[in-house]
Amino acid sequence: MHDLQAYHYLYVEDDPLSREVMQMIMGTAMGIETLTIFDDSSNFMERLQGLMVPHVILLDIHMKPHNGFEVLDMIRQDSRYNSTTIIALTASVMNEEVTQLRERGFNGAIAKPLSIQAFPTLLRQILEGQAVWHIAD
Amino acid sequence: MTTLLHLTPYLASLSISLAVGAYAWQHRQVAGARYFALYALFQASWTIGYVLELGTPSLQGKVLWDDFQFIGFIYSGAPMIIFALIYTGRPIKSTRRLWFWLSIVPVVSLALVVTNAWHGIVRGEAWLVEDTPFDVLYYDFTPAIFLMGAYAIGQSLYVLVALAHYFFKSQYIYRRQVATIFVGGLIPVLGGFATFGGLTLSGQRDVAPVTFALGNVVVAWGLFRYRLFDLVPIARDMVLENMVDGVLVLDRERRIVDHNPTFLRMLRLSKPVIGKKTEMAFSDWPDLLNRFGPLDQARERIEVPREDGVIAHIDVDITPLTDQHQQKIGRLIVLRNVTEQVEFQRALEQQKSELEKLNTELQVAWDAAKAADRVKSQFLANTSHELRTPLNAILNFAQFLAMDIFGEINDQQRDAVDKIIGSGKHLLALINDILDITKIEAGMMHLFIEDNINLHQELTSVLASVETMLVEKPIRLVTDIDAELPTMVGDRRRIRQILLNLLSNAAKFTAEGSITLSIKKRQTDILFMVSDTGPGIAEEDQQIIFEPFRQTEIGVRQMSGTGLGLPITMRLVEAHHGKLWLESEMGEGSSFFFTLPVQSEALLELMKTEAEV
Repeated sequence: MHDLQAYHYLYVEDDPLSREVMQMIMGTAMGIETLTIFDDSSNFMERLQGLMVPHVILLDIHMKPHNGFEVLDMIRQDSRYNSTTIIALTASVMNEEVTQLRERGFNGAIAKPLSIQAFPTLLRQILEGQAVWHIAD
Repeated sequence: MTTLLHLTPYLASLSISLAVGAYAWQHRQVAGARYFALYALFQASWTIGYVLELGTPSLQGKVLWDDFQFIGFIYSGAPMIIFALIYTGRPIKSTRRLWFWLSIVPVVSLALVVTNAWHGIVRGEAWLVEDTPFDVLYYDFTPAIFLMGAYAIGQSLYVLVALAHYFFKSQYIYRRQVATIFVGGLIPVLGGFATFGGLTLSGQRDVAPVTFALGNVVVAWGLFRYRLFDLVPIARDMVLENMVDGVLVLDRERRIVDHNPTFLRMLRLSKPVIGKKTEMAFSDWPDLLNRFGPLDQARERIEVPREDGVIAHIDVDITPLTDQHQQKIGRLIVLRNVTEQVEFQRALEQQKSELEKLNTELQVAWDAAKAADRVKSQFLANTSHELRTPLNAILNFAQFLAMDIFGEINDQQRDAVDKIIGSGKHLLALINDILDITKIEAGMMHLFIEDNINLHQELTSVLASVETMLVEKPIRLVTDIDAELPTMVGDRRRIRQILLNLLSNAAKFTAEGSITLSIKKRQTDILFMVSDTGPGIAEEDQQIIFEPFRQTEIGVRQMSGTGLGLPITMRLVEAHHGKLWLESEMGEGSSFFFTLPVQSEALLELMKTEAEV
């Protein structure tokens, strides 16, 4: 059983409302205080390297200037983040995108809209190494 | 011994005649050869008659053998003439009829010879002159004998003239053969003149049989040397005359030695050209003369306008002709009309370039279609994202309100928040449906195939959702599901979607009664049935409901749904290589059936290729 509150989290998201929702779910509902949020993906690596190495990075896929896949590639090139769990958050219902997420090296995916009830469970399952490629019904 | 010595020339002549005859007979399948054999046989009979006449001591016996010689003497002209006609290629309508006419004089003559004792027309009084070793038969020549001799010589002369004529007409390589036969025929004629002129061999003996021998020696040499019956000139003429290629033979001085009719036709020449210099004969074709006149060897394709103005394509092939000492003696020019071939090739090439053009166009269209596909795909992804992002915020914030995260809300507010959440979820479902059908119609729906789907596990969440829909309705949910179901291959989420669509339709349209879900394992697939006790579907509507955006009247009255659920469901089943059908009557409820394969190579293949996307 993982203590989710003990981890450091980074969320990268360019939609202000989505950031606010995540803040509500993780901060308010789950009581996590170690969540850092980037409001876009510019100068990503510099900003990442200014942080403590996060345990979990949550990446929005559709964002600018670098989309989620590009950001993932950048992180994966730096060996310091080898043990970091990287999760895709996407509003897309496209199966083909899920396939791509898995192939490109994400550790898991959680679909938007995030469910307040389901999110902690899915997060925990991914951290335990389960294959979670969650697509909203 | 001396006797034999005296007979030697005649016996030699006899054997040569017989040998030549046998040789010709061996080649009797060659036109004319059998007549030459007959000719040789008549000459041989003449010689035999003469040898026997010499060898017979009595006057009576000698006269008898002299009579016998008349057969060869008077009859040998007939086969010789027929042979010459065939050899020189003269047209003969009927050999049999010709033989008949040529036989009239010999038959009459022989009749006179046989009956000579009564009338003495052919031979007057005969007597013996003593000589060593043979006595010689003498008799006075009558006018009849002179006439017969004239007839025989006339025939021989006719043959000689025909041969001479043919000599000048025929081509270089055949001339020696013709000349040889000519000389071979001439010698006996000279012998005949000599005989009538009184020339005798020593001892008063007849010169004619010896001239046959001489003539036959020449002919025999010609036959073996030039293989007369192996290659009859007429055969060569026939080939040349009927050839589709034009043939022209020139000598060293560029004079025309031979040509065939095709050659003249090809160059539209009508006047005879044999013997003319090429400059004269082809004065209408200065270009060709300039181009090919000096060439000993060439192989080129030229264009020649035909009479009707159409361009003919002709291959010109020039080869030098040499004699056995490799001395140049002329040139052989062959013209071959290749117009059809050239036109065929041209048509082929045109077709090829048209095909290539079409191919390029197709490639362009294909590329455009693929580009359009990418644009569409991108558009769908964007639309999905753009529509859902704000909707997600609406749903999430409404949820936060409902969970009292922003403080406790009163009942009226809660009711409003629940309606926001309900409508939001409905809108989300609509967006998903529209995106689904758009992807399906665009052929861009990809299944996310797994090969270890546990149906029971998937059913749990599906049935839970359906039960929440039925909470406030007097409807029983009945399940009849095989306890043991194999793990199956397919898209887990889409299979759930199929079941949920059919079950929620049943829940939507059924007022009371029951909804039954039955799942049965069959040999290679699984049969699903969702039936209800709803209003049923009229037969005329049973097709319509599977078309996008079409609903039945009852469906429209329901004021919910998009008319997309069934079309999507149908296509999802088909994408899984299953079948979907329905049985329904108005007032009797509806039963939807569908099958899904347990294992499917095609789907497993899709699972592998998915990984490459």
